[in-house]
Amino acid sequence: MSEPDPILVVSDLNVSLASGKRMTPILREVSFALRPGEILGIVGESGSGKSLTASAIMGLLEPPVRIVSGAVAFKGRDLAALDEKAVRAIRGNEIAMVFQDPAMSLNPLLRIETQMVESIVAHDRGCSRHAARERARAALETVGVPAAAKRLRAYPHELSGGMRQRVSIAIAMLHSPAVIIADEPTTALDVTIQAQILDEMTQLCRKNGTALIWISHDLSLLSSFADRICVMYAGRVIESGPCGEVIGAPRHPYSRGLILSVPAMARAGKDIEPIPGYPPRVGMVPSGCAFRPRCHRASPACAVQPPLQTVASQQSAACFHPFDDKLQVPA
Amino acid sequence: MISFLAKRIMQAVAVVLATASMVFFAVFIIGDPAQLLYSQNASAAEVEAARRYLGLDLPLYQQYFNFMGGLLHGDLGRSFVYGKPALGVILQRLPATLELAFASVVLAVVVGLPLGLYCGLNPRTIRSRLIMAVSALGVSLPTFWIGIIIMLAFAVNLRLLPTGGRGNTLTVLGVPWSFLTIDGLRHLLLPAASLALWQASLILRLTRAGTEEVLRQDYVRFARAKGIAPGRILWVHVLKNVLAPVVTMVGLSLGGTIAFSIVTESIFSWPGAGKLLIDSIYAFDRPIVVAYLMLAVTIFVLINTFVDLIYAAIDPRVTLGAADSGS
Amino acid sequence: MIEQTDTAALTLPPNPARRPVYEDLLDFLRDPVAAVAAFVFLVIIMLAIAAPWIAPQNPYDLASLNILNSGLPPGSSSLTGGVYLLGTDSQGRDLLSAMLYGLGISLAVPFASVLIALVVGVTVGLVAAYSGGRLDTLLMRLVDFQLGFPPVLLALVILAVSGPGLGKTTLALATAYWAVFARLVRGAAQSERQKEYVVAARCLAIPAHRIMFRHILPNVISPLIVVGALEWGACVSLEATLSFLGLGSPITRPSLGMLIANGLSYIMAGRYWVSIYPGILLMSVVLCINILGDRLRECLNPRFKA
Repeated sequence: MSEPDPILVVSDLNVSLASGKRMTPILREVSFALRPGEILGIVGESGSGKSLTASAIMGLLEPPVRIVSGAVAFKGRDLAALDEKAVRAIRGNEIAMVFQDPAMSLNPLLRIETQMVESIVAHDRGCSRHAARERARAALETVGVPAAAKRLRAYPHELSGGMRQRVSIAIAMLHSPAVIIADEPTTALDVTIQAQILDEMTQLCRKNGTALIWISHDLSLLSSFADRICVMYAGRVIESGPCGEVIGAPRHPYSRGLILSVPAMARAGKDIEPIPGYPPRVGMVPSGCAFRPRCHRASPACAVQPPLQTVASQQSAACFHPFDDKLQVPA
Repeated sequence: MISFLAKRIMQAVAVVLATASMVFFAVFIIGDPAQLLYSQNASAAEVEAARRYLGLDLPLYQQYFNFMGGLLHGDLGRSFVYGKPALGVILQRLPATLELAFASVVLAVVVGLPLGLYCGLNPRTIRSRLIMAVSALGVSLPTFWIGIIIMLAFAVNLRLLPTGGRGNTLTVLGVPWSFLTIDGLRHLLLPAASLALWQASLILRLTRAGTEEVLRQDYVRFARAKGIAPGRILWVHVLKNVLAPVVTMVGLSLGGTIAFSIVTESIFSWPGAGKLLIDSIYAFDRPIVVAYLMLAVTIFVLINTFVDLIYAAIDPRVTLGAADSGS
Repeated sequence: MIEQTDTAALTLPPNPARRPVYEDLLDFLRDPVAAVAAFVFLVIIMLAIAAPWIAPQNPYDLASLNILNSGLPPGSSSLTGGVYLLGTDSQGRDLLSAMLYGLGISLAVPFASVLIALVVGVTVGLVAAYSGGRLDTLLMRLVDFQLGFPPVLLALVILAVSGPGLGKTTLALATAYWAVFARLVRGAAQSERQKEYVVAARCLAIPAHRIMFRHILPNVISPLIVVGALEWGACVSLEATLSFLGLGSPITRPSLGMLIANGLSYIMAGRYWVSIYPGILLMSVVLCINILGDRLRECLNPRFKA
């Protein structure tokens, strides 16, 4: 157990939507830790709060959504308590982000060069234009963009979706950040490109020792490369642990349902088992365990919110009735 | 670029010719100018002589060919009132109108753009709501009413500014300009402001809507995620994207401004082409009316072409060749 | 899903669950500004309708006018003993009566124009969208040409040629505004055409005109109402402008715009009321229509966007 200290610790993060005097909680007591060089997968359905968690870490929440309590400790400093200017010095420099849709995340009216150079100069004031351009070109080559010098002069719409996402990744990696948060970066791409980008990005991160938070709704995709996995439901982390354990022996009924509803992971010869019902909408989350109405193991005890507690050596789940057996691996 | 311009010029010629035909049929078929020009008690012989002088006794198709033929030579007939070529009379008055129109567009942009940006960035403040309410008035009120109110307030009651005319002018390139003298500027301010209010309100509303829209875009969040300073995000990332549709609007409203200057010029006795048009309508001076229309259409086509060029310069996604097929 | 195809379900346009009308109305009036505008506008309409009964004088009855009464300030008494509440205009008309009668013209002429423009525009738009091909191109070129031309200028020129008159003004305004509706309907109809219920209706060999009027038209009615309301406001404004220039309503039946013009020469002499009172009334009318139109858009938008 001689693991290095975590570089990013999110603890008891509560985020709410303020409308007038009413506060609608959207993230509740979100906690997880990220160790240097580790790949953490955050999985959940749309609306589970996974993208919002990313925005909260980056300090990108827009009013009326804001952090109510909790801490985002990066290298020992609480980002939630820092002022905007101090956070800006960290954003894009030590923690970078890649968005879902490369068609939307690059400004359509600015050349790739402008968008890369401004990113370099923002954190490296002394850098000359020429040097910045040279660095931008090198960064593009690192992520596998051919004819990088020519691509620098292009506008986003002149590149393919895969190329655009490579540009976003190159921008994220410009300052060799300690953490990259990737919010479904391959969802909007063709399947073949998806695999390529996923491969290149994880390899670069492993090579540079960059920790990676990969947000996805696709559990089978995450299981192929993540070190650890957090499962989110209705704004809460309901299970977390090493990838192998969470996939092989999910404790929370929701995690188990999620895995069994993926065709490739369902046991051979058996039908997939969809989870009945729908996830709750923001502001209509039931009291107690939010999964209770859809859960076949629910009991009266579940009317109280179960805490996220350790259920196995490194695995925790927020459930009063966790499973304790492994999933049957197809014979 | 060259093929775009060539295509545009051909389109422009087609539009102008089509307008000319419509104007011909509208103006020359409905009613008889000779009847209107001469008093009720003119003798039949007098009217007949007038008809012959004006070429109205010829068969319709011949009148049409004469009209179109003249048009190609830049000859739009002689003004009945001034006894001079109609086009020349209008061209002489045109600078005053253009001066007024440009002054009001500049005023509208200077006022509307920053205020729209402010409202888009701070949508919830009381100040933005107030600005939006005033702009709602601005787009609702008829231009002539705004002109009267402004004149009543600043010229009649407060006696701060003159009520009409161009004031002292300075002649440059053989054309007198008001904006080059202090007195001329004082005369220019009220009519320009009354024309500008409507436009400024439109620009303000479009800028506000655009800003709110752009701020929601992923590329703005991505720029923030890169650690770019808010000032640069606003001036480079947001403004450029907001500006593209606003430029189109400003271009199109320039056409509207020239049209509305007809009213404003009449109220403030601004001796431009618009006032000339109204005076000519009252005096049944048809060649002037026709010449004005032809000139107006030409100006509108020029403005549209220019707007397309600027739009293409701002937005790299627009290619000039395809710009006209969309609408 | 194909096995379950139920013709009735497919051919009917998506119909959002109907709510009682009064609920929509309450929703509409929830915005305080809109509620005030609705109230003021209701009063204005009633005044316009009731003009012949409540006006102190019949401004069209030339026999009752006396030029000696012209330009009297508000509250003066007339030669025949009545009181001119808002004074008199240049013709010696009681301004209040002239305004009440003029209000009707200022509202009705633009309303008729918008109706005509709507009918013409919708027909052209539907024909263009449904026929496609050359007719579509031709019609839309005409629409573009028309839209590139400011409405003021178009209406002005038509009236300059035809001379003033209420009927002529109505037609001139309709000519200046039909293209907006044609563009709107054609655009909406084209996007509706792609939708499954229309494709399904075509597969069932339902005749073209029936698809157009029974299936597509109901779906573009919401935006048409909104644009129609806002165009009505613009049209009132434009009619006033034309009458102000002396090209719209005839001298014998002045609309608000002409009343304002009549007072213009008095303004310099400090006799402001002849222009100001009709102006304020006109301003209220246009503002009310615009506020109500905007509110209408807010209320209808989610339903036709969804």
